[in-house]
Amino acid sequence: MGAILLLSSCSKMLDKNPTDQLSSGTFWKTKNDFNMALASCYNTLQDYYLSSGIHDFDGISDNAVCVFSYANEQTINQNITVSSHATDMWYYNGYQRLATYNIFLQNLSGYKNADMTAVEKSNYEAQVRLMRAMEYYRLWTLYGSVPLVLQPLTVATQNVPKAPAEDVFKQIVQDCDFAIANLPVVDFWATQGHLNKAAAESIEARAYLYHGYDANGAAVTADMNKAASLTTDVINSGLYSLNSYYRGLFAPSAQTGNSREYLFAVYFLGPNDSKFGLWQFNISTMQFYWQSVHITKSLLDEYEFADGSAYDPNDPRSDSKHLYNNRDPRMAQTVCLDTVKWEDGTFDVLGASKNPSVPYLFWKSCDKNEVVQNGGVNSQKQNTNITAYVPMIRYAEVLLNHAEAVNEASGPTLAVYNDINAVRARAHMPALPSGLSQSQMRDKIRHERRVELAFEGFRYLDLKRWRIADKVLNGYNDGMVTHQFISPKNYLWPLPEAETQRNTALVQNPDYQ
Amino acid sequence: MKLLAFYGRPAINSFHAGWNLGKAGLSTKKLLRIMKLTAILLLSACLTTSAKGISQNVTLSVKEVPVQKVFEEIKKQTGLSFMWDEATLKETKPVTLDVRNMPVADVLNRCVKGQPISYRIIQKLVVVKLTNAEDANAADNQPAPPEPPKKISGVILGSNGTPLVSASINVKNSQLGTTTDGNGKFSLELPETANVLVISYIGYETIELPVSKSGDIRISLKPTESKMTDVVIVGYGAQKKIDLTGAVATVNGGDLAKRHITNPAASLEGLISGVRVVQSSGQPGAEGVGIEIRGMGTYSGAGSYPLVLVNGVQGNLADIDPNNIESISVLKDAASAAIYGARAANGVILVTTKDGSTNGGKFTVSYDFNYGISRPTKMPDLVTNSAQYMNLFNVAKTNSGITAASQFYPDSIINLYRNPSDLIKYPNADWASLMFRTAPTMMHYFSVSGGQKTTYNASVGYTDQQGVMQAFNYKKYTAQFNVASTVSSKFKMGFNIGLKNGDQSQPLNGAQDAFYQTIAHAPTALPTVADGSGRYTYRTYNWESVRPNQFAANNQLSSNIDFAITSQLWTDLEIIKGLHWYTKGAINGYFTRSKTFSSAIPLLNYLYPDSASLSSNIPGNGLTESMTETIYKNLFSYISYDKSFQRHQFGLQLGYSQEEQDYQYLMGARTSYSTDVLHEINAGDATPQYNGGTSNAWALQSFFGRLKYNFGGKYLFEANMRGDGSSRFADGHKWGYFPSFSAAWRMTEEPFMQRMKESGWLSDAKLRASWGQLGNQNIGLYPYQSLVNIGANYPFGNNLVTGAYQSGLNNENITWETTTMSDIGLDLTLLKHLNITVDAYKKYTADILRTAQVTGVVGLSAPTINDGAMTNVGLEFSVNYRNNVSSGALQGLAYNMGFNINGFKNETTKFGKKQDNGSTVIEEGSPWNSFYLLQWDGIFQSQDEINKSPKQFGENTQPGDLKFKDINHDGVIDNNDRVKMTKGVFPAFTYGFNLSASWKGFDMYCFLQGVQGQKGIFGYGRTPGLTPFFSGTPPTKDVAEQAWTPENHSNTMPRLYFSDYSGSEKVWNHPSTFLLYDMSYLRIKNLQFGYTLPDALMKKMSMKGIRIYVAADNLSTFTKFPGLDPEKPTGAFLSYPQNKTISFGLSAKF
Repeated sequence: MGAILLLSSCSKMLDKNPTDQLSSGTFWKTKNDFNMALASCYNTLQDYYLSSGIHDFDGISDNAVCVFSYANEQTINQNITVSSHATDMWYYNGYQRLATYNIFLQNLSGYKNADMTAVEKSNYEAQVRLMRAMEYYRLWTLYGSVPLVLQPLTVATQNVPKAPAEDVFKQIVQDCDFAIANLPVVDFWATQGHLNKAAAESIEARAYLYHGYDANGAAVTADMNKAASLTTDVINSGLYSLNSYYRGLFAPSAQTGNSREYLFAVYFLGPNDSKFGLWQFNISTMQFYWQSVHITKSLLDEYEFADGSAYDPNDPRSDSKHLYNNRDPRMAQTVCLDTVKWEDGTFDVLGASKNPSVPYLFWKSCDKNEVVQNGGVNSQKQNTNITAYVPMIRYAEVLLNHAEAVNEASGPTLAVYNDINAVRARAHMPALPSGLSQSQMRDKIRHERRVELAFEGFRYLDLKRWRIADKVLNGYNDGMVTHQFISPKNYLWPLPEAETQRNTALVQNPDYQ
Repeated sequence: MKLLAFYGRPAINSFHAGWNLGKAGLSTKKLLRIMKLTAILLLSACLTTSAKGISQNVTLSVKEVPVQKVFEEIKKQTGLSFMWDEATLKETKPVTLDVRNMPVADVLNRCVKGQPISYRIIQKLVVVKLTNAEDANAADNQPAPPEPPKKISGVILGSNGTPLVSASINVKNSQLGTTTDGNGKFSLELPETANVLVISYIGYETIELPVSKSGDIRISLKPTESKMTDVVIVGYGAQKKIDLTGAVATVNGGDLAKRHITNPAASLEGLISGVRVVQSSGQPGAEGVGIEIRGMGTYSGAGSYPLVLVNGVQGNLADIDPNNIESISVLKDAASAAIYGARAANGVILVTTKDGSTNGGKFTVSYDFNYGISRPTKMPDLVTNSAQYMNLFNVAKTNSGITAASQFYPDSIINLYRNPSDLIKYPNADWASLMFRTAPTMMHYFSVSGGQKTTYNASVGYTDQQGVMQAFNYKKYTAQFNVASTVSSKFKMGFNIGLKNGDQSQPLNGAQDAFYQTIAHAPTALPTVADGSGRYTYRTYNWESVRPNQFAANNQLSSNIDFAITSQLWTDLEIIKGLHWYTKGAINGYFTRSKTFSSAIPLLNYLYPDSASLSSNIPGNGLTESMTETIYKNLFSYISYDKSFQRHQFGLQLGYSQEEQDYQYLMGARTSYSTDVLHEINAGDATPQYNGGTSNAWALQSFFGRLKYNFGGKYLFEANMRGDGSSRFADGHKWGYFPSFSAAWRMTEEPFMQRMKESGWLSDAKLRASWGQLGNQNIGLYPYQSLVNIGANYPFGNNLVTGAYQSGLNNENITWETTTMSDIGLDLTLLKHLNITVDAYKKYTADILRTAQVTGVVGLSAPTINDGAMTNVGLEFSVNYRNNVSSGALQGLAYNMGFNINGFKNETTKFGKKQDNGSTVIEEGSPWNSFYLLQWDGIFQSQDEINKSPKQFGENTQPGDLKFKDINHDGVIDNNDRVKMTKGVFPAFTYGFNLSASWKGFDMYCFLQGVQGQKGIFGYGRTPGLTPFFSGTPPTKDVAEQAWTPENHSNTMPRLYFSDYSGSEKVWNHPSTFLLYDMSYLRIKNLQFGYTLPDALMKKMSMKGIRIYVAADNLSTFTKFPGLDPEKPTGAFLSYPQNKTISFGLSAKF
C-alpha cells in the first residue's frame, strides 16, 4: 500500500541533477555566461608553471637549481628520454588550456544574442585567441611540431597528427594579428587586467624573435624586422614606462598597483582567489621544505660590478661574504644570503640553505606580507594567499626585444643603445660604452636579458633560440648535477610516450624514437 | 521466532508445506521421513517458542471416540498443534477418557497407551507417529514417562551413538541440573513443577524435552551444523541450505568474533572460498579492507566491491560490532545475487544481526571482554649504526657523481660516532623503533536478550584501540536494538536500530607519510635535541637530507568522528495461508566530522638547537573542519506465496524497492591562530578564511521477483528477475533487467542412491547449476551529463569574477555494466561428517563502464563509455570435517577441521588499444594490468662486460649497475625490451585452514590463511623504505650488506646511489623484474585456547556459563617478501603495519 503510494508520487525520483554544476545545454545563453567562461580562460594563466612559479623554469637553465618542487628538473637537466616523462606535463597541461580556449571560441562563434555587440564579440575572441597563441608559442618552442587543434575535439576526432612547426608558428602569428586588430590600445590598468593590443604585439614579437634564428643561430633579417616593427609600435604607443624600483615589479609587498611597466600581468587577489596558494612568494618555502630555488654560481658571476665592469672574484671590490655588495643593484634585489632587508626597512635572518656549495637563495619576488602572515621567514606555513601581480609581459622585455631585433637586423643603432640604457638606468647601472660592434652589442643585450629577466622563465628559451644551449648547458655543472644538452636532439623535447601510443597519428620527435 | 525475525518467509513456508503432507496419502515411510525432517527443521526454528501449552492441564470426558477427536479437543484446550498421518491414526482404537485438570502429557499418555502409536512433544507441536516406524531413531522413541515421583535418568549420546561426557541437563526456568558422567549418563530428581529439561552440549543443538513422569531416557543430540537444519539467509528471505540452488556461503557470527578485531570485514579473511579479503593496513579504524568476490569483476571505476546489506538494507560492515553478527551470507553467483540486480555484479554480502531468540528466548545477559596487546607484525630493518650510515651515505653520494666536499660526512665526524664518547651526542638512533609501541586494545560487549512473543536483543559495545604507531588511536561505540513481535498468528512486526560512533585520531599527514617521515632521518640524531630540553630535532648536519620530524608532527592531529544510525521497521502479514506480505522501511544516516588543527612547530639542530640558521620548522595551517551528512532511505515490500500439493512445492515472490541517497558537505577553515589552545573556527583570525560545500544525490527504483519449484526435495528450480532504474543514466538508458535461473538435483533422494545413502558413506549429494546476469552502476553520479563547472575564477581589477568551464567530455548513451555468470557446484556429505563443496564458475563482464581512451590533445577528461569486457574463470573448493571421539583417552573430544581453497584466471577480454602504464600493460587476452618489465639479468661486474653488452637507455652504465636483457635483439636496451608477464598478476590460489576442538571444557581454535603465487612491483619511481637514501632514509641492512662494491661483487643488489640524485634512476626508474617481488604467504591468523568453567560451579554462582581464553592474532607469517606486509600486493612499500596481537578475554552469560 505504502509502496504503491510512493510509486505514484516518486515517478520523478530517478531524475537527479548535479547541485553545483551547470548543464552545458543551459549554459552559453547570455553575455554573462561568456564573462564567466572568459574568467576561467584567464584562470588558466594563474598556473604555477606559467606565472606564480615561473621562477622554477629557470631551474632547467644555467640560472637556478630547483631541488624539490620541480621534481622533473634534474631529469631534464641530466638526460631527457622518452621514458623519463619529465617533460610530459607541459604537453598535457597545454592542450588542457587549449581545450578551454577552443570551447570558448566555438561557443562564441555560434552566439547570436543581441546582448553582445559585434565589437564586444571580436574583443572576446581576440583575448582568447591571444591566450591560444601564448599556449602554442610554448608548445612550439618546447616540442617543435605539435598537433594544431583549433576546435574542440571529441572521441571521434581525437587522433590529430602533428602539424609542421612552421604551421604552428603561422597560427601563432595569425591569432596575434587578429588580437592586434581587435584589442584596444589602452594600458593594463584601463582594462582591469584584460589583455590588450600591446600584449598581442609583444607575444607576436617573441614568436618572430624565436623564429628569427636559424639552426646555426644566424639571424633571419625578415623576422627581426617584423619583431622590431611590432615592438616599435608598443614603444610608440607611449602607454608604457619603466618602474622606478626593480623588485617592486615582483615582490607583492613592494608592488604599488599602478606600474606602467606591465603590459600584462596575472593577477592574484588574496586571500580568496586561491590557485595553489601563493606560497611561492614566501621566502621560507624557497629554503626549507620545498627547497625550491637556488641560485647558480654562473648567474651570480653574471652580475657586473656597480660601475658596469665585469665581475672578477679577485677584484678588491668583491665582498666574498656578501657577493651582492658593490654589484649591479639588481643582484641584491634578486638573490639573498643570510639576511633580508625588506622594503619597509625591517630585517629578517634566514635559516640554512640546502645547497651549501652555492648558498644564495631566490629573493626577487619574495614577499614580506606573506612571510609575516605565515609566521616568519623560517616558517614553512604556506596557506595564505596574498594579492599579487605576476608580470608575464613587461616593458623592459619589450625594450630588450626591440634592441635585439634591431641589432640583429641593422646593427647597434642609437635605438638599441636607448633601449638598453633605459633598462640599465632604471637599475642604476651606467650606460653602455659607445662604439660597440654588432657582436659586442649582441653580448651586451644577452647579458642584460639574463640579468634583467632572471627567473621570469626566459633563460632556457633564450639559450635555445640563440642556438647556444648545447654550448652553454652541455657539460655544465650547476653545483648539484652535470647537465646534458645534445644538439640537435635536446633542442626539442620528446612528445609524451603514452600519447604516441594513444594517438595513432602522432609521430615521436627525431632522436627520441 | 528466530526465522521470522529475519525477514525470512521461505523457510517458514517450507514448514507449512510439510505440514500438509499428511493428507497426501504418501507411503508411511516416506511421510515419516518428511515428517522427521520437518520436525527437525521445526526444532531448530521454534526453539524459542514458549513451552506454556505443555504445562497446561486438560479436562476431558469422552467415550469411545477416535483418537483424532481427543487430539482436536486437546488442541482446543491447550493450543498445542498436532501432526499426524491419516494412515497412522487409521490403525488406532477408539479412546475412553475421563480426566480433570490432568497434565496434558498424562492425557496423551493415556491416549496412546496400548495403541500402535507414540507421540513426541516438540515445543507446541505434538508429533504422532507409528511406534514401529523403522527409521525412528532413539530420540523419537522415548517411552512415555511413568508416573511421579519424577526421577529422570538416562544417557546422552552424540551423533554417532557415542556417549557425551559433561553434557548439561538443566531443568527449564530453574537452577536445577546436572551433567553427564564419563559414560554419558546422568540422573536427576525433579520437583513436580518441573516439566521441561534443557539438554545441551557444545557443538550440538540444545533440545528441550518435556517430561512429566520418572523414567529412563536416551537422547541423541544433533550436531549443530547438520546441513539438514541449516537455514541460510538469501536475498529477500531465507532458505534451507538443502534447498539452495545457487552458490551461497555462510559464516557464523561466532566465527567472526573469534578474531577479536574491531572491523568485522577484516575477520572475513580466509573464511570463505572465493571471497578475497585484503587488509591493507593495521591502522586502528582505518584498516582499508578490500573485499573481492570471485576475482576482479570489472576494470571500471565501478569497482569490484560487493554490495553489503545489513538486515536487508545497504550498510557497512565496519559499523557493526562483530559480536552482534548472527550470520553472514555471501551470495557468490548470479542465481543467488540476481535479486539485487544492478548492484550485485560483484556479489552480495548479507549480514544479519542477532535477535532475541539467539539464546533460546530465555532472558540472557551476556558480557564479553577482551584485552589485547599489539605489536607490528614486522618492522623495517634499517641501518641504524651512525658510522655505518655515514659511510654508506658517502659511498652513495660519490656513486651519484656528487663531488662538493660540503655534501659529505668528513672522516673526523665519522670517527666521533665510531667509538662514541657520548651516546646522546653521538647516537645510533633507530627512529622507527622509537615510533612504534606496544599498544593495548580493550573491548567490552554487553547484551541482553530474551522474550517470548516479543523478543528483543539489546547490546552495546565499546572498543578502545591504540595504534602500534604513536598518535594513532581509535574508539568505537556501537549499540544495536532488535525487537520482533508476534502480534498475532497472522501478523508480525519488528524494528532494528543500530548506532555507531567511531572516533579516529591520527597525525594529519596520515599513516603512510607518518611512517615515511619517521624513517627519513639519519641515525645521527634522536627525535629530541641532545640538550635534553625535549625540543624537536631537525637534523644534525647541513648535508643530511631529512623530512620533518614525525615525533613533532604527531602533535598535529586530525580527528575523524563518524556517526552511523541505521533504523528499520518491518511488518509481516499472512493474508491467507502461505501468502505473506512483507515490508521493510529503513532510514540510515551517516554523519562525519573531521577536524585538523596545526600550529607551527620549531625543529632545531640536534647539537646546536639555539642556532636559528641551522633550524627549520613544521608549518602550522590553523584549523580545517568539515562535515558530511549522508541520508539513505530504502523501502521495499514484497509478497510471497508458497503452495504445495502432493510432492510439488511452488513459491512465488514479487516485490518493489526504492532507495535514495542524499549527501551534503560543508567545510570551513581559518589558517591564522594566535593561540594553539583553542581549536574552533571562531578562535582564529577572520582573514584569511575559506569555506566550501556541495551536495549530491542518487536514486534507484526496482522491481524484483522469484519463482521456485521443488519436486519432492529432489529436483529444485529457481528463477529470479530484477529490473532496476537508476538516476545515473539518461532517460532511455535508465532501466536494466537482470534475470537468473538455477537448478539443483539432490541425487541422494533418488531411489537408486538409497543403498549408498544408507550405507552411510554418502549422506547427501547435490548438484547445482546456475546462470544469470547482474549489473553494476557505481560510476560517478552524473556521468551522462555534459557539465559546466563553476569555479576557476579570475580577478579583473578587484572584482573576482566567477568562472565556468567544461572539463570533461560526456556520453549520453551510457548504461549498465552487465556481468553474466555461470556456476556449477556440488555439495557432498560423506561419511556423515565430511562436507565438501565444489564450485566452478565463469564470470563475464561486458559493456564495462570505463573511461574512454582519449588522447592528450583533447584536453578534457575522458567520457565514460560502455566498452570492454573481462572474464574470470575460477574454481572453489571447501571441505569440512566434524566429529567426536567416542572412546579412549580422548573420549568426548569434539573437533572440526575446515579447509578452503580457490583460484581464478582473469582475462581482459576486450579493451581496445593496448595501454602501456610503464611497468604494467593492459592488453586484450591477458590478465588485467599484467606486468610489463625489463628482464633483470644480474649486475655488471666490469667495464669490459658493459662494453660488450647493449647500451642501456643511453645511460652512463657503471660496474655495479643492473643489467637488463636485450629481448628484441636490437643492440640497445630500452623500454621496447620489456616483456609482458602474466604470472602473479593475480594469485594462483588463496586458501584458509581452520581447526577447532573442545574437550572437557577446554577448547582451541587455529586459523591459517594464505595466498600463493601473487607478485607485486615495488619501488618503481623510487619509494621510501626500499630506495636507499630516499629523503635521507637509511638503507635496509639487507641492501647495505648485499650492495655491489668494487670489493663485493654482488650479483643481487646494485651499487648504492643516493635517491633523487644521478644514478639512482638506473635502478629505480626502469621498470624491471628487479622490482618484482613474490608476495606468497601463509599466515597464522589466529590461535586461541579457551576454558569453559564447569556447569556445577556455574550453578553455584547462578550463572549460565563463563569461558576464558587467550588468543593470538597474526601470530606469524611465512613469506619471502622482504617488505612489511605481503597481504597487500600493490601500493606503498611502507605502510602502517598489521598488528600482531596477544589477547585474553572472557565471555560470561547470566
